[in-house]
Amino acid sequence: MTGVVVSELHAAYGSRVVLRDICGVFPAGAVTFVLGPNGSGKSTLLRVLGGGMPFSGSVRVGETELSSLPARRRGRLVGVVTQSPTVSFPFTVREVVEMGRLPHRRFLRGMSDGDGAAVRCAIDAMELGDLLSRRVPALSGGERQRAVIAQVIAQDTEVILLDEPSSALDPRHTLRLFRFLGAAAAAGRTVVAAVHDINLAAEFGDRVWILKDGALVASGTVEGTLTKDILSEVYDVPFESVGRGRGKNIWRAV
Amino acid sequence: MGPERRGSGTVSPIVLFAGLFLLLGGTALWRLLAGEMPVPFGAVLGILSGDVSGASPQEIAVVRLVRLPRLFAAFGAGASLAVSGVVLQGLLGNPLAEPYTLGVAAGAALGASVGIHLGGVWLPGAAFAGALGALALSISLSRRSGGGSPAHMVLAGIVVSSFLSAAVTLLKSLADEKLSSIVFWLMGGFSGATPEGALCVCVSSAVLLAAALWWARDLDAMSLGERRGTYLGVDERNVRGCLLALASLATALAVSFHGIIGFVGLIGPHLLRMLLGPSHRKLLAASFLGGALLLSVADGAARAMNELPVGVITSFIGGPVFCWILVRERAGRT
Repeated sequence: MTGVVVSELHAAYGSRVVLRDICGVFPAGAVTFVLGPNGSGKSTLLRVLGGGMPFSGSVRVGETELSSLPARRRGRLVGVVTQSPTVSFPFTVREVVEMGRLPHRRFLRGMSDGDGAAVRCAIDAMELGDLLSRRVPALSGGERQRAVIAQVIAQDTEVILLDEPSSALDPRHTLRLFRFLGAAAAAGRTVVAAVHDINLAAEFGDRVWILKDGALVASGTVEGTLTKDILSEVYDVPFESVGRGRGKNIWRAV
Repeated sequence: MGPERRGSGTVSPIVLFAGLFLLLGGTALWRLLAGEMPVPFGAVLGILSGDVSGASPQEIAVVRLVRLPRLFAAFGAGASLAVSGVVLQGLLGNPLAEPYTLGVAAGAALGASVGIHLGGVWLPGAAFAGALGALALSISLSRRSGGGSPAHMVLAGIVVSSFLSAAVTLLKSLADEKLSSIVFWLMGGFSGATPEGALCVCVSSAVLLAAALWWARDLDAMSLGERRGTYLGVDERNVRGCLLALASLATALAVSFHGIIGFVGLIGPHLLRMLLGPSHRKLLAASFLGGALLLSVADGAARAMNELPVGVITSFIGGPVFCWILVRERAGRT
């Protein structure tokens, strides 16, 4: 498994081009963070990679062209955590997490032992044991986010895409989530997360992609790519390193 | 910690379905017994079981040609509208969606009016084309104006409904000799139900239910919105295309035979969602029965009130239910 290979990727909302000529690799076995200013195309990139938006160019997972896959197989291969998830109907947390098994379940069959194990693993990972009977629309933003992340964990895919997954999480669950993602990458999965917090990327990432105005301006290892010059140019504000934590630079806009 | 519940319902599905079947049976009996001409209970049972020895020819004719078609027309139309409501709400991730609020019924009404102009044989086809066109217009308008949020979708439905209703009024004013038939038809109701029409509406409701049950798990995922269906491996385009077409067809047939009857797709599904939870497999089946029950009871009440248009009764119930849902949505407690 080589991860996700993107080449000559273009995407647009109507006449507005939001991604232009993106080429690169999200390697398997690594957590890659996608950074960039507001409107740089981070969410659109994840939407395209997840099959939720039309595009031109190529997105391959291993040797398989994503757009040629039947929907169910794509669902078994790629999972997506959307930004600030909302749930309009009163599903319970358990129901939402169990939906993650949809691409694996056979028609008219109930949950198999494997499905049950995947759901339990997801519930444990996001510490949802006490919330299983609660209705998702009535939960707090962070609890709702944990339920949707658990759904994607239960989906058990080779590729995990996350758009601002920790925007509503408390520090405990942020740490828990990124440790889980690190372990998933260590087990050979491809993990891609779009975030705004550069230090989160520095701390938990193996690699970073930096987007600006829909174009990929830099990519590579965390240490090699998160530099004062690149960050200052991309965000149009001076950056400085304010020390080191866990062996990585800590950055601050000044 | 107490015993763990797997679903989000508050009532056991077995109890609820048993209750619905009992109520439907009771309503059927009431509708077959009630009317201008008294038909004894034993005669009705005999006619239903095929033993007509205890019934007069008039009684047989009244039950077979008037009351049974009317009962099944109300069952079929109620089931069609309620299941269409659940399907539209699930596909669009919008609790306020239903054939009436999205302009589908008004589109079917315009199509049917055009069909009456062209000749009765065109009526169902024209109603179906009108329903599909109105649905496409509402969805397109809401997506272009507000990203398809529930409020924008209903606003778009109101705009489309108003426009199409004005077109129906224009057609009425242009059609002197056919005015009475359009007006009579628009008032809605089941007094003129025929066995063929009842069969047609019942079959379309059953086909819609079967298709929706086939994709029930996919509907669960799609109802989460934000393309979660796609991300969970649902071929959204295929499911949406098939179910929107079938829901529009079922609505168009109900409207073309029985006029505009609003809010049936909101009342039953929302009450049942509170009792059973939002999981579509149970909700669709219960809404099929609940819609049939609601509209047959409403038709009985309409008949008892000197053949009041049945849409008046459903709107009197549905309007407040719509407001209630809106308030709950606002409070985030759906």
